[in-house]
This record gives sequence, structure tokens and C-alpha cells, in this order.
Amino acid sequence: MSKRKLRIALAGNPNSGKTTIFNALTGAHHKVGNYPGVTVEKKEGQRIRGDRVYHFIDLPGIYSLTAYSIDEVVTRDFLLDEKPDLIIDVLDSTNLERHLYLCLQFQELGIPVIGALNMTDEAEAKGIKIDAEALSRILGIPMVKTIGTHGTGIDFLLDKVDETMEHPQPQDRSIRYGDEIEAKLQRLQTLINLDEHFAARFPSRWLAVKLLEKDANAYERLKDHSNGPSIAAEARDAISWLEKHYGKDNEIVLSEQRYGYIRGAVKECIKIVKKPDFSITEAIDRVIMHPVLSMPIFILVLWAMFQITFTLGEYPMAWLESFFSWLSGVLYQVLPESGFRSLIIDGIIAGVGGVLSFVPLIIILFFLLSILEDIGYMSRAAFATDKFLHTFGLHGQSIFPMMLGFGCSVPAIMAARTLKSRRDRILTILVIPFISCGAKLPVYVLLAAAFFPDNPALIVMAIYGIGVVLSLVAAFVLNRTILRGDPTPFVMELPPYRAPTLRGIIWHVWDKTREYIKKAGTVILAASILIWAITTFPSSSLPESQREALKVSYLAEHPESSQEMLDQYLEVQASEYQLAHSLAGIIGRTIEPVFKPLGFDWKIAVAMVTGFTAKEVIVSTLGILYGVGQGESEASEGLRAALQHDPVWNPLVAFVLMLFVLVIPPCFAAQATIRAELGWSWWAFSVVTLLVFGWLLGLAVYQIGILAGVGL
Amino acid sequence: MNWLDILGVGGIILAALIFVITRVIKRIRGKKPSCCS
Repeated sequence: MSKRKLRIALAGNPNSGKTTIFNALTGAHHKVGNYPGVTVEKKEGQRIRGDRVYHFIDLPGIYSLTAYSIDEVVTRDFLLDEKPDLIIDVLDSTNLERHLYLCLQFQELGIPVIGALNMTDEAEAKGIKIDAEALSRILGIPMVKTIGTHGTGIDFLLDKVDETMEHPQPQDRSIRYGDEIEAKLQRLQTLINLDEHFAARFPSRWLAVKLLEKDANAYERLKDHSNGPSIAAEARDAISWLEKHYGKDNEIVLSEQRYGYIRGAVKECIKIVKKPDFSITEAIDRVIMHPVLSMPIFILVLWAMFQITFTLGEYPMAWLESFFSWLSGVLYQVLPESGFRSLIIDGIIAGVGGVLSFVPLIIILFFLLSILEDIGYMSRAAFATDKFLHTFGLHGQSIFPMMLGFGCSVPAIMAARTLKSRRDRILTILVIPFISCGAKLPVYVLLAAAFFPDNPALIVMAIYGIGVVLSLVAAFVLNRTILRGDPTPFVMELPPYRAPTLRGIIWHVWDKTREYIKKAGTVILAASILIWAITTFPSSSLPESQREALKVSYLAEHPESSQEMLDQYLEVQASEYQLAHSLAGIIGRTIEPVFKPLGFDWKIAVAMVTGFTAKEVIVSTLGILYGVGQGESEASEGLRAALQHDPVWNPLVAFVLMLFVLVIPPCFAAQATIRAELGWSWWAFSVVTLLVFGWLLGLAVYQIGILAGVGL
Repeated sequence: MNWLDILGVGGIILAALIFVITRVIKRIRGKKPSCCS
């Protein structure tokens, strides 16, 4: 017997816990964040219970069905065009009045709605007592109390879904707008229903309401109606009549009616039993969001985060490094001398192992970031920086995509969809590459630890800080030149402080770590093999005459040296010769003149080119370039020491390289996302300006450093 | 290098090359990146 499949949309206001409910319903583990706009694309998942298959679609959070931003359009189009069997509206119980506004609009769509009164534990803690049954009765919408984080009420919610599907709600229960408006709605509905084909596609009541609200998208949809123009004219007449009658904008009249209706329902069904005389949230906010203290606190928090990451991360990183060098040593002994052995040791272990050593750092950094995010601090930090962002022409909401950028640029660029105007979206996406993603961290850590051993954490934090400053400067310049205009107004929601759940944090961290390890096992593995290939072929050996000359000069300089030392010296020279004449050497030396003014040699040049696939590949490339052909003693020294011994490197070069990596275009995946979101021309603009600016910045810092004699 | 070595190493390099190329083509065609879903 085949199971009955139900398509259920999960919708609601931003930050009401839709994704938490989605995860609890489906057993999925999607990212949940304590700030609005985490879900920018719809996600799907299933649950089987009895003879039913429940197919859930998690939609982006929206404030109303009047589509302004892309995520609102996604939700609205889905509900209208794909017509799910049922909508579960996830409502924040602590803020019910505002969240019910959207719920009423769902009801007008004519699709059965169930309200999930989420976060009832928080509401109860605040002394808010909700009579769910009475609310269901008044609104004609079944209401179920849930606590998404604990999975409470999920089974009951599914029971209600079954019940609603078997006994559909009466369609006439939606809100009444008053006699005058109702008469106009009735007239419009009759006209819409004349075209049966059209009426089957769009709920006539909802469309009539939207027409009276002057919704541009609703008028757009009327074009498909056989009598569209006359309905539009009728609607405009109705609007002007109603506006004269009420003496205010029709949109406001309708929303006032809705709020009035909601206030009435809330008064009946919600009791505030005790008002906490002292709100902890307010007390903490008074300090954290203090006009003067907020910025220093934010910087202090970031500083502490980097210090903890480094101090704790140092030990497991060292263990992993020694594990990989031990593994190389063992394989060197076990495997017979062959190209295959070199590929494994000098290619795969040097490349992938180098990147995997940073896993502990990634775990610690994202653990701390998740705590800050889940507590609700990140939203406060965003609020504190909001005014500041405005002076640079950025939209206050841009802070969320930018913060996601610390993890990975790809979701950050996609999150810019929450911005309403295209100008704000372009501006935000163009500055996201300046925010250092997790993949750049290994590069910074490697160089900071090798060349700034006294305080590597401070240097890495400085680079992150420079990235943020550059993003603001870039926004400022773009705002004054090619992207003129004012950011659209925006009111930021401040979520309450929430104790982070262990499960939530573990999943955040696991999500990031899994991505990182997966990347190491796929892209970085493939890149390492290819880099090894171009450093190994074409194979050439040191000409005998040159070998003799090197031998003579070495013995002249080191008359006391043993045969063993001489052999080792010649072996290193032979591998240097091989490397310089390999494909990588040829490419590197061809492009070296471009990088020379920045203090980079051909090996760094090669790493910059390969780094385009993924930023971690820079570490792999250096690992392979500095490890290829070295005897087992040198190979086990580690990349850090190898860099310190190379005369090309000094603290100035390392710092310039960190800056260069910070600014140059992001990895291939991020670039593909920019192209997908903004098109080819903005992609080209982004890549070219970042390359040119990165080079100029590197040049300026290096040349000034040389002149001032700093870091040599 | 003996012929077995050349064949093995060559095969691995070829596989890596194909992997990278198909990935690049997928991205250019606008398929969703597998990371960061």
C-alpha cells in the first residue's frame, strides 16, 4: 500500500525558530542561528509516521506577504505557485502580537494553517500565559505549543496536521475588515472569480486584499486574468474611495484592522501573570550596548576569542604535525623508492596533512563563535555597529551576511539576499571578500607563528581587523562612486539572550569541521596531487659539471665537513635544481616579475596561483614546494621551520603575503556564487578590482617597509 | 620509474585532473557548491 504524501510548508517571521522546528520534525541538522535571515533558501526534509509521508519545506522568514526582498518573494511564490497542502506557521510565543500578523495573511491564502506556538518555555519564564485552545477557537487556526530546541510538542503538532487534513477548517474564518472594506473586497472577489482558470490558481480573497493594499506584485499577477485591466481599474477606484472615506493610506487602514483584530484575540487568550521587575536582558544590554562601551567590548571579545583559539589550539596542532611527520617517516622506510612514494609523502601528506593540522583551530574558533552567536551577542554587536555602518553607506542588515563571511564567503554572499534593494545587495556582496573566511585562517596562522612568534594571535587579529576596515572603506568608496544612493531604512530585531544548547553548538562546530575535512579530502587532495605533479615533472637531474662545481665550492667553504654532510648538501641542491626546472618552476619564474616588487619569489607566486581553487591550498602548495625531494630529516622539520630557513622570507614578506591573501579574489566557489547572484559583469568587476587593489596594497606596504627598514 | 609506477602515478594524476575539471565546469554552470549548503 502506498503511503499518502503531504507537502507541508514551514513559514513564519524571521528568528521564530522555524529551522529548529524543521530539524525537530525531520531529524535534519540545518544551521540554526539566533539572528534573522539564517534561512535564505528553502530546504526540504521528510518524516514518515504511520501511513503518511510528511514532506516539509523550510521557507525563509518573512514579515508579511507583501514581497519586498528576495527571501519574501521566495516564500510568497512558493505558497502561491506550488500550493502546499498545509502551512505550519512558527510563531514566537514571547512576541505573539507581531507574529500573528503574518499568520492571518497565511489564513487568507486559503491553504490550511496550523500555528506552532514556539518557545513557550521562554514565554512562561517571562510570565506570559497563553490559552492555546481559546486562541485556536477565536482565530479558527489550530494552535500547538512547542519548544523546538527540546522537541516538545512535535508529535502533537503532527497529530494536529492529521486532524486538519481530515477535517479541513472552514474557509470563512479569516479576519473581517469592516463593512466598507468588505463590500469592496466582495466586489473584487466576484470579478476575479469570473475567470475560473485564474481563480483556481490564485485565492480570490487574498488577491483582492492585496489589490486594496496596492501590492505591485498582485497587480502584476492580474495580467494573466482574462479581464485583468478592468479589475485593476475597479481596485484603484475602490482604493481612492476608501482612502477618502478613512482619510489615510489604504495599506495602513488594512494593517490597522489586522492589528486591531489581533489585539482583541490576544487580550482574550493571553495573560501576563507576573511581570519580571528586573529584566536580565535589559541589564546586560545596558552595558553591552552602551554608546561608548559597546565598541571596546566588541574588540575585547574578539581579542579574547583569538587568544583562546591560539593558546588552546597550539597543543593539538603540534600533535597533529608530529603525527604527520611520523607517518611520513614510517612510509619512507616501508615503501620502496618510487614515484608513488614521493607522491604519497611529498604530495599528499605534505599537502593534505598540512591543511588537516589546522582542524583543532577551526574547531575551537567555531565553538567560540557559535556560543557568541547562540547567546545572542552577535546581534548586539551588529546593533552596536549599525550606526557606524550607515556612515559608510552600508545597510544595517549587511552586518549579518558580513558576519557569516567569517565562516565561509559562499553562504555569506547568498545571505545578502535578505537585503531589500539591489544596490544594498551589490554593495554587501562586493565587500564580503574582505572578511577573512575560515579557509584563510591556516595561511595567517602558519605565517604568524613562523615570523611573529611573540604574539601570533595579535597579528592574526590585526589582519582580520584590517579586513573589516578595508570592507568599510570599500563600501564608502563604492557608495560615493558607482553605487550612489541611500541604504533603505531597517529596524533591527534584538533577540533575547538564550542559553546556548550543547546540541546546537556541537552541530555548528561539526558542520564547519565536516566541511573543512571534506574539502581537505576532495579539492585539496586533488590540488595536492596536481601540484606535486607539476613540481615533479618534467624530471631533470643536476648536470654532472654543475654538480662538480658545487662540490668544489662547498668543500672550499666547509673544509671540515664529512662525506655525509656533503652528500646531503648535494641532494638538496639536486632537488632544488629539479624543482626550478619543473613545470611549477617554469610557471613560477615566468610570473615571478609580477610578484617581485611585493617581495615574493617564484614559490610564493605558484602558491598564489594555486590558491585560487581554495585558500587552504596555499598552505598545501608551500608544504609541497618546501618538502619536495628533501631528505627525510628536513621533511620532518615542518613547514614552519622550512620557511624560517629560506632567506626569501622575513616578517615583512610574511605580513605582505597575509595582506595579499586577505585582499585577492576569494576561492573559486565564492566567485561562482558572486556570478550566480550578480551576473558576469559584477563578477568581473570584483575579481579585477580585488586583484589590482591587492597588488597595489602589497606593493605599498612592502616598499614602505623596506624604506623604513621594518621587519627585515 | 618502472612502467607500473608510471601507470599508477599517471592514473592518480589523471583522476585528480578530471575531478578538478568537472568541478570547475559544474560551478560555471551554476550548480550549487557542495560546500556550505
